[in-house]
Amino acid sequence: MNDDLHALTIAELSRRIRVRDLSPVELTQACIARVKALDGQLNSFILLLEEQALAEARKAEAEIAAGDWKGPLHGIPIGLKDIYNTAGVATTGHSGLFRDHVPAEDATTVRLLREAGAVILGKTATWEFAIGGSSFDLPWPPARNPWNTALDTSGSSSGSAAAVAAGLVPGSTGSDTGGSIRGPAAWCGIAGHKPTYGLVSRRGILPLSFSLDHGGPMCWTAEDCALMMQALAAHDPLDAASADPGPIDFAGGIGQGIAGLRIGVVRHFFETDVPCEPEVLATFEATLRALQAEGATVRDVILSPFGVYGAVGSLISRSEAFAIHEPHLRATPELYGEYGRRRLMAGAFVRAGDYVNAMRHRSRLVAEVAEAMKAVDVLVFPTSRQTAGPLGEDSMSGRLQPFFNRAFNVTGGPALSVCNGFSAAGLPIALHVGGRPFEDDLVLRVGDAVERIMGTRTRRPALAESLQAAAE
Amino acid sequence: MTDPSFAARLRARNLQRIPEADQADLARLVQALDEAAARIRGPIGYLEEPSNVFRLAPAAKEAAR
Repeated sequence: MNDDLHALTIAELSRRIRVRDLSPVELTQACIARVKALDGQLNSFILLLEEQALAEARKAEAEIAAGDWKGPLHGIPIGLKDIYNTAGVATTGHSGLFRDHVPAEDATTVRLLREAGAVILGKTATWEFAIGGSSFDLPWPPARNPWNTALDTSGSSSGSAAAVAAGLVPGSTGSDTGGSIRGPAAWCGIAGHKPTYGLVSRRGILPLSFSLDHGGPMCWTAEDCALMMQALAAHDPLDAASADPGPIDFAGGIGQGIAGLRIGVVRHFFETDVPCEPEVLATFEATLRALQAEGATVRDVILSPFGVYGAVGSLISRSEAFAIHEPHLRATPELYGEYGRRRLMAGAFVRAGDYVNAMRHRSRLVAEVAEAMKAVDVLVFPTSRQTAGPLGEDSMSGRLQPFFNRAFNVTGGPALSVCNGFSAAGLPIALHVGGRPFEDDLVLRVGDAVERIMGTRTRRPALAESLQAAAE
Repeated sequence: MTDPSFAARLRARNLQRIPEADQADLARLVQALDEAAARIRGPIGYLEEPSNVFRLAPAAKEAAR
C-alpha cells in the first residue's frame, strides 16, 4: 500500500492524479485496504462498495489517460452518508425500518459527484434517519471517534466524520438540519461545510426537516470542502428550495488569507448563554488574536440569546420530522431505535400554533443576523462548548446542548466548522464561521486561513496510525 | 409510571402504543419543546405577518398548437 496517501488532501491527491503521478485505481485500492484494516474499530462504513468503486476508478483512470480530466474530484474516492440515495444500492438511513430500501435512482448530489468523476467508495454510518443518536440498538453499530474510540463522534453525520478523520476516504457527504455536518466535524477534527440553504439539492436525500435540511461536504480541510462544493452546488428544478444564484467560485478565496476582513464575535453565545469549557474558550481567544495579527479586525456582535435560536430550530425540526415519520411511527415503532423513535415522536406534541410561531420568529432571526452582518463579513464562535463526549451517552439530550451551530440552520446562511486547536488530552477543538447567504466562498476562505494560521492540519489521529501499524 | 398528565397527552395523540420504556425520556423531550414554545410565544404585529413566505414562480406553459 502506498503508505502516505491517506494523509493527503483532495487538493493534493487531485494534483497528482491530473499529472498521472497517481492512479485512481491505486488510490481506491489504498482506501479499501485502509477501511478493511481500520474500520472494524471505527464502524464508519455501513457498506463498502469495493467492486463498484474499483470499476469506477478504472473508468476514471482511462478517461484521464485519454485527456478527459473532469476536475478536482476526478478519480477521488468519496463516502456517502447513508441517507443519500444510490441507484440499485441500499440506502438505509442506518435504520431497521429502511434496511431493504433500494432506491431506483441516485440523489441529484450523487449524480453530480459521479459526473465530476468521483469514485463512490461506500455508504457511511449516520444517526438513525439523521436524528437518532449514537445508538447500540440498530442493525449497525455507531461510529466511533478516531481520536479516541471510547468517545462519540457526535452526529448525525457520524460515519462520514470518522472516516475522513481516520483517512479512510478523503471526502464524504453529510447532511445538516441542526448541526449534523458541523458537530461531528468538530468532534472528529475535520472541516464540515453547511452550504447556504438551497445551494445543494435535497432531492434524493432522505428528508428530516424540509425547511432546515442541508446537504454538504465533509473533508480534512476547508479547501477540500470548496472543491467538493464545485461539484455539489447546482440548481435542481426537482428541489423547490433550490437556489440559482449564479456561479460561485467556492475555491476562489482559498489561500487568500484574512487581511482586511471584519470578524464579528457572538460572544454572549458561549460566555453567558451556554458557557464553554475553559480549554475551548482559550483556543478561541488564541485564534482571534492570531487572526488579528494577520490583519483581520474583530468586534463583538449581539444577537438574540442562543436559546431563542435553539427553541425556534427545535420546534421546526421536530414538527417537520414527525410529519415525515408519523405513518411509520404509528405502524411499526419497533423498527426504530430508541433514540430515533423518541426524538421523532416528540414532534407530535408541538401545537400547530407554536410551529407557525417558530416560523415567524425565524423570519425575525434571519433579519437580525442580516442586520448584524452589514458591519462584519463573518460571524464566529466555538462550534462546540466542549470536546468529544463519551460514546453511549445521549449527548444531545443534556440540559446544556454542546453545539452552537443550529443558529445557522435557522437563518440558512453558509457555515463551516474547522479545527482550530487541540485540548490537553489531544482532542480536536473547532471554530464555527458563519456568513451571509451565498457567500460560501468567503466562509471557506476564512476557514482555510484559520487552518493555515493555527497549523492544525498536520496532526492526524494517533489511534488510526497505531491501528494501521498493527495491521501492517 | 407515566405522569398522568403526560399519559393523557399520549392518549390524545393516539400514541399509547409506544413502549413503556420510552415514556419517561419522551416526556422529558416534550417538556423541552413545551419550554421552547413558551419561550418564543407572544404577540406578533400584523405588519410583520407578510414576512412569512409562500412564494410562487411563474407557471411553465406549453406553446399553443
